[in-house]
Amino acid sequence: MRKPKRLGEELATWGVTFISWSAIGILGGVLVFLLYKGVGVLSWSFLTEPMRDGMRGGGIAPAIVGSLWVTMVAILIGGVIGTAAGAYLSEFAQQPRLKRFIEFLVTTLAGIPSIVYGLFGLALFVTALGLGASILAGGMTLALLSLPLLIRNAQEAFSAVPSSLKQASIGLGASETQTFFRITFPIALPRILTGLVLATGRVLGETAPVLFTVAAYYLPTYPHSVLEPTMLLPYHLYALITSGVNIRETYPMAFGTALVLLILTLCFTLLSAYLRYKLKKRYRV
Amino acid sequence: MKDKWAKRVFQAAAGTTFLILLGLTFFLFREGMPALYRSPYEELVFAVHPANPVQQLSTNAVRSLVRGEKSWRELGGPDTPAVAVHLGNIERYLSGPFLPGQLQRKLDSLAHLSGIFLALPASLMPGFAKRIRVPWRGGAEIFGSSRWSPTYEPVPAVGFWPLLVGSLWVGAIGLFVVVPLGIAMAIYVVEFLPARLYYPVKVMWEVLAGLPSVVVGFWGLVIVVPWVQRLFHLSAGETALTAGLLLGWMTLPLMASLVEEALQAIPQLLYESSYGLGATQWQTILRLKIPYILPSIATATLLSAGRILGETMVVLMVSGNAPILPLSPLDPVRTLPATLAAELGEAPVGSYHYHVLFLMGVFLFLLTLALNLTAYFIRPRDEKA
Repeated sequence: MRKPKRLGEELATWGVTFISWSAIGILGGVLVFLLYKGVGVLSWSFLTEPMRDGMRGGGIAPAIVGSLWVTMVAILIGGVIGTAAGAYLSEFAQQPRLKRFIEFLVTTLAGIPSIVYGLFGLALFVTALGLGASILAGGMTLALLSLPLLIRNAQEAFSAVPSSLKQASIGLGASETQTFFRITFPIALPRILTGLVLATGRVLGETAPVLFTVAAYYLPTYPHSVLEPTMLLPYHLYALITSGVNIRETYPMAFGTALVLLILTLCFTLLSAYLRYKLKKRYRV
Repeated sequence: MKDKWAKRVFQAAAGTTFLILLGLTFFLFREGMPALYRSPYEELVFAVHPANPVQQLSTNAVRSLVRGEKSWRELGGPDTPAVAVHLGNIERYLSGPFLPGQLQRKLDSLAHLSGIFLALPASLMPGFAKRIRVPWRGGAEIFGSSRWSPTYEPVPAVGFWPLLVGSLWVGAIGLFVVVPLGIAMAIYVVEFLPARLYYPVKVMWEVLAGLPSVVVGFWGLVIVVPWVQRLFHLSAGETALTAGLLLGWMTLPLMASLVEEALQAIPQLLYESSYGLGATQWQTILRLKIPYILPSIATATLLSAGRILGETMVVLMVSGNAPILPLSPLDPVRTLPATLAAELGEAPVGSYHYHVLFLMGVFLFLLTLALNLTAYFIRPRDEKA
């Protein structure tokens, strides 16, 4: 079946191969570069101590803690609402038109730029609800941002549960909600958690929505409640690069911060990829 | 009974999507619309010397008067040099300790200057001055002016054009990168990639898609910016091109996976018949597969455009942040989202600057919404499920 190859086609094949691998190669370059520049900065004290002397010395612990707090709030709120909404779309929606409309809304929300969510968070949570710049305000803003991803993921997870199982449960006399909580939900749970892990990685790296809703420029203490502002890794990195008193002095700190942020997001992204791979193998879907 | 309530809760959760979209639209408009009907200098009064026949000045005239670009003669006034006194330069007319009474007397002593132009709060305005009007037309200022200088005293310039054009430059360059390369990557993955490498490559795409934009911006600033500067012999490497290249690269996974999905969905019968008729692999790709998925490519392009136009941090860090009308891709630019990110933190809540930034948010929201809606409605029917 294979014909003798023509030169143009050979070149085209080489072209797409080259493009694909160079896009990935640049990614590799970024990772290696940041690792090379940042690994010297990393130390136990860098990870566990607060900043000192403006931003020139000390560690980045408050930013790490702040980022984890905000992400946790976002994923908790987004996870609950997203999973419930996904369950509705997959299991309980009876009118197809309403279902399609909500799916359309999810698509629309997914396309809204993150900075616009930041504006919304500023107007609603920070100003109108009077939360001020706080972990709660920022977390809720990020929850809204990650909701489309979480809803879609939950919907797919519930839809992937074999309907034979659901029907068997109904046939044994269980109600719809009983079937959902005892059969569908436990089976779909690993996939839902995988989606949550992926969303965690995305939320950790988001900068634009938290600029006005939670991020503090320099606040080397640990937050005591969710109603306080906090430093965040991405914003701290941004601040280090763009508005440090002496850029040269803060550069090593910036490389260290970038590497920590990169490793954190990478862990979550790779973990979700690994979980999905495992699930695929187990369920063959 | 319990069933019903559980279902209600699930339905309510799904309903939040509607509430979010509604609330987002409401709050953006509520905070943004005042920019169209309010004026940035509500608490200021404008005045000239009583002998000056001018009754009204346009905002542009005031700006050029203050900058010293135009004389009174050109604006229909006396043949004297203009002396503009406003809150931004009032220190120049003060000496010694600042006391309100002294300020008043100091300003009164300026009465001999026949070319004087005053822009001050009513409480400070000296008695000799003749008040004039400076009407503010929000819509014309915002959509008609090509200058963005929102804190300029006494009359700010809030034209969206330089920022919109900046966004369009970056978007165009980004698309120029992402569309051909994204399609090429999708073709490679579907047609040529060995099966055992499929999963690793897809994971790499995911890693790239999940790269924090601030990290990409940092890398761009350290590596790509100096590289662009040296390559084109520029005084600064922070240009629309730099931002466009980085954004295009970042958006590749989105574009490539959408195109890949479409390529995978082509009915096997179609391309098998093409092979059966003796077409080569590339002939099949170029004459059958690509034409077949054109609608999907259009959708993917629009979605990528929306993503690029909305991206904030990378542009903020590598595009030079100059809110001037860019004429070439090697000019520094400032995009709409970058302006929001850079300035909203400094604009006091409720000020005109704050409202005009929210109006820009509305504008950006509608722009990306239009792109996404178009993408949604031209999407091939069977994918709409």
